[in-house]
Amino acid sequence: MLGSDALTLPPQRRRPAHTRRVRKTTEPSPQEQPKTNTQEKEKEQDILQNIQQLGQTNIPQQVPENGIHTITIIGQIEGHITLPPQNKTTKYEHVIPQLVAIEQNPRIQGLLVILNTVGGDVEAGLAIAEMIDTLTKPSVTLVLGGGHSIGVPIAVSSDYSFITETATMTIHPIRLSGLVIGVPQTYEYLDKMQDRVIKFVTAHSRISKDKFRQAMFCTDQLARDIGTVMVGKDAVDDGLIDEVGGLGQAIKKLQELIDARAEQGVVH
Amino acid sequence: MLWTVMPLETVLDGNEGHQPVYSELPWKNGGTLIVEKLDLDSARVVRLISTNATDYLESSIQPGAIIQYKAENQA
Repeated sequence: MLGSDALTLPPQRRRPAHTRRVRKTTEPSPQEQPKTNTQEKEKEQDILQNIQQLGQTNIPQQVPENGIHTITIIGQIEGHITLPPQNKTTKYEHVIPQLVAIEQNPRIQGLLVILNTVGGDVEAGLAIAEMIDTLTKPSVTLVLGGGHSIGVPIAVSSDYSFITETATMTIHPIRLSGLVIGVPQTYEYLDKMQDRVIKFVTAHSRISKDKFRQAMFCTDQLARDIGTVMVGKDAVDDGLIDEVGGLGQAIKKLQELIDARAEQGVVH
Repeated sequence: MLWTVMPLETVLDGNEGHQPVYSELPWKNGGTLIVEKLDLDSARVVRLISTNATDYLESSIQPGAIIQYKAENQA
C-alpha cells in the first residue's frame, strides 16, 4: 500500500507549479531531465521484474487462480506392492500428502476428484477415501469411464458425487490371492475385509447395507465373476452416487459448496 | 490385498522380470527423491520423501515424470 501511494502521488507533484518551474531552471541542462526519467523507469521495471521473479518462486505453481484443485485417480490404486510397469497406477503415498497440502493451503478452496480406476489395493483405496472424507474443504467426485471395486468407496467419500451417463461401477466380492488355507477363518477374514468396505460405502451414500451386499453377490450379471455392474443412472437409482452429470455440473456444484462455505464465514 | 476388476494375472504379469535400480536424489527442503535410472542423463521419478506437503503438489516431480540431468556448467 505504501509503495503504490508513493507511485501515484510523487512528492514533486504536490508542489505548487511555480516552485517546480524554478527548480527546473536551476538544473544544469534541460536534456538531462528525460534521461533521469528513463533511468527511473528502468529502475522501476527492474523492481517489477524482481518482484515477478520472486513471486514465481514463492507461489506454489500448482495452485490455480480459482482455488479448485484436481486429483485424478486412474488405473490401479497401488498399495504396499509396487506393480509391474505395464500398469498405470495411482500411488497412494503421493496422493495422501497432496491431500494434506490441499487441507492446509489457504489458497485452495475446493477439491475435484476424477476417477477412472479399475480398483486396486484395499488399504490404499480406503486410506485415500478416508482422507477425502475428513477433508474440511468442499470436495466433489466425478466417476468417468469406470470406478470399480475399491474405486467405489473413493467415489462416495466426497461431499457430493457425480457419475457420467456412460461410466460404470463394478461391485464384486474381495478375493484372496496366493496361498489360501481352507479353514473357516479364511472366510471370516474375507468377510471382515468386505465389511470394512461395506461399512464405509453405506455410511457415505444412500445405499443400504443389504442392497450393497446383494449387488456384491449377484450371480447373473458378470460372465467371469459374481457381482453387479452399474452404468451411470443405475448407480444414482441405487443410491450409491448423488447425481448423473459431467465436468460442468461437477465444477458448478463444487463452486456452490465453496460459496456456501464462504457464507458461513470460514476463512479457508 | 488387491480388489480389482482386472484379472490378477494381467496385473502381476511381468513382475519377475521387473527389477528396476532405484537411486536417491537430494531435493529441496531436505527432501529426497527416489528415482529410477533410465540412461546416463535421465531418470524417472518414483516417489518423493518430504515432510513438506506442498512439495507434493509440484508437477515436475510427480511419479512417472522424467528428470533430465544437466552438467553444472550448463545449468
